[in-house]
Amino acid sequence: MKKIFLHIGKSIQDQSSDLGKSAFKNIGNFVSSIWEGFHPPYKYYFSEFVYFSSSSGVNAFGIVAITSAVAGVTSSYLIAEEVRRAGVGAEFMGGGVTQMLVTQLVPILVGLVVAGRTGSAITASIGSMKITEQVEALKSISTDPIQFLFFPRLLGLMTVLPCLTILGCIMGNIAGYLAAERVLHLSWSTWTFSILDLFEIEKLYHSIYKSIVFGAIITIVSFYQGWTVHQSSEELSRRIQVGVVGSMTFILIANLIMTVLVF
Amino acid sequence: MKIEIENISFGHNIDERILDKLNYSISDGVLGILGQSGCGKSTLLRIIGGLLRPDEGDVKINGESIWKNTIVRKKAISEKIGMVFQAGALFDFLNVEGNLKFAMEATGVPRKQWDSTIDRMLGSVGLDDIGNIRKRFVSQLSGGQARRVGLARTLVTSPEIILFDEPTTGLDPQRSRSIIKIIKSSLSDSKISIIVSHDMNFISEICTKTILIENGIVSASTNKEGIQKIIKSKKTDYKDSNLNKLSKFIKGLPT
Repeated sequence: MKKIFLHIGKSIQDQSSDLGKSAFKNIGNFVSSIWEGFHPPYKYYFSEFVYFSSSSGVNAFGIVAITSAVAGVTSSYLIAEEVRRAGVGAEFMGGGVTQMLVTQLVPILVGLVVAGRTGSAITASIGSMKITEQVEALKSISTDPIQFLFFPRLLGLMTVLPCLTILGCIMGNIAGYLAAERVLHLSWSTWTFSILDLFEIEKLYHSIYKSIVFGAIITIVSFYQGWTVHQSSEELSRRIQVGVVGSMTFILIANLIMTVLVF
Repeated sequence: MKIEIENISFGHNIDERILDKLNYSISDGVLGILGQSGCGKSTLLRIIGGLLRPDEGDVKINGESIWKNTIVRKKAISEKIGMVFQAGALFDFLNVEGNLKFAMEATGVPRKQWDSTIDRMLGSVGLDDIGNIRKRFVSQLSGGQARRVGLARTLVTSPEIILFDEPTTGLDPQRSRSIIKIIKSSLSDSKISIIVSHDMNFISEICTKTILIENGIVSASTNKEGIQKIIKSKKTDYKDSNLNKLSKFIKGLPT
């Protein structure tokens, strides 16, 4: 019995140390590749940046609009129900809902949606390029794959996410107003004046900063997962999963840190 | 031109090395690399090409280090090296023309030469008679066509050193012959070529030197005459240990 436990313990130890070693090797290779990308000759792939930004922005537009609208309706409806029961506070509805949407709900939702949608696409495309040796082929024709594949995606998502967040805030706000109007028969002017009175514009800036950080997190995590795929498509599907879950987790952790410590 | 491989070690797992302090040097000519599957031939090719960092050791091109140099110099040296991949490794987001143009743009071929170069190169790899080949994507090409486009993409950049990773593996004899013919005609443009292949006719026809990799090191080497002698003869035992090992490997006997 003792021998069996010793054997199990030893295999767990061996396996975990191997995993640890390969993880360190992968991270080391990834970091050194990024470092190489910062060195000349510099080539700017502006068309890649435009293509990636526009495609990821346009593709995520619908789902971001829907999720933000749903978040706006839900939060507004819940608050409106309480306001109706208490009979006071309708004049604060617009500002309150907007504050909630802009500071927390929309940036996080947009980050999570884009992590699932665009993040998985990044891992899949980079991973399949690794498997089919296209990344090495880029290097062999004097093209730094980090400059060509990573930087345009990084800058693209860091640009697109704030735009989607602003769009989400607008959609959530309109949907929130419609819910409040239905429950409380609130007028558009009351809603708008409440926003102007209570909402601080700095909160919107904070939300934009957050979404820029989220864009960087999604690109780095998803790209890393694709970059460290070796030779199997089965590994790729696992990496896509890990990439999405990892991006979402890091987004939530980063949001917590920024909310508590920075903003 | 000279390539020096110095004490190269590499392992996919930390505790398991497939290359173990491998040393070799080659001056102008064509080097063939033989060895069993998984012995590290393609890995060595990637390390020479600046595509894969070794765990230890270095590769020098004309005395200048690739892996112990600054990143900027490493990039500059790597520009002299072109690689032909086993399955072509074509960019699937571009068509055939796009693949060739991308390579020419990356390596600074003047834009006004692009069209004529593409025509010439598609002609030399025997793809000019296929209708609308320029606009075809990777998914619309056969394996042999993809390899020929991959070869053309490397040749348009006129590298001084060309590395071929099993260019004929998995092809039927006819397609294999045509690839060999194209490679032979391209060799005159480069100063050093290194070929990894299991095709002995190919190796004996083209390579001026051949090495055998076993247990992570170069275990045997010979010149063109040596390889041709082994192929033509039924003999497996030679006094020369290099020929002996190569002969046993080529004839499928335990070395």
